[in-house]
Amino acid sequence: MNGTEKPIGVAIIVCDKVITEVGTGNKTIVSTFNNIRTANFPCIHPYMAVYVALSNSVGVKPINLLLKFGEKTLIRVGGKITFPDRNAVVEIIFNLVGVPFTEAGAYCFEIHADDEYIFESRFSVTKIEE
Amino acid sequence: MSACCALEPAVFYYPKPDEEAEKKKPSLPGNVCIELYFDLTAMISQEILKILLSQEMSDKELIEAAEKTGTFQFWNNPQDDVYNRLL
Repeated sequence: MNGTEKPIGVAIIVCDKVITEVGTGNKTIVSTFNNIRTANFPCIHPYMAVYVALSNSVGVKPINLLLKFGEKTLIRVGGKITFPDRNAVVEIIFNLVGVPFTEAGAYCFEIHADDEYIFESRFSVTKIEE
Repeated sequence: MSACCALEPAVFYYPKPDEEAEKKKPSLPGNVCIELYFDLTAMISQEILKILLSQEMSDKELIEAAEKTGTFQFWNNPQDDVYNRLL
């Protein structure tokens, strides 16, 4: 139990926002989606949130969320997360403002722990034909 | 009886909030803000009271109207004719 256990991915949910209830800490995940449609590129998506749940680790670990398009990393955001015990489910909320999408295609949110890939969630950006 | 709860989540933001810029933002001390609030509230209340006074009301009606609008408490200038009329 020295913090070397690799976390297991429980969930990655892309949504409009995540509300945390004061008191219980329970989360409400609002308006999930897996596709963004736009008439023009590049497009800036004004606001989105990514809910991530991880487990099976102990101690402090650097966790990062990467938005990737192919091999290109568009966004990298994160920080140190404390796993209180191996069975705890640790929840992380990433609030993303002004997310840039340069072209249509398959995008991917990857979770990395200790700069090591853990798991991912894919979503697509499509062009609206006028 | 049961209840559900969860750990407080870690929250990250993109782009990162500019902490230095936040520190440089001008801010008023809390007591100044409170004083400004009360000054403004008092000014607005006095304006409302002037409107009430311009109406043809008995003293009793005037006091009731001032109480209803929450302005009575700001009417506390003993030099004021209105104050004397009310009290």
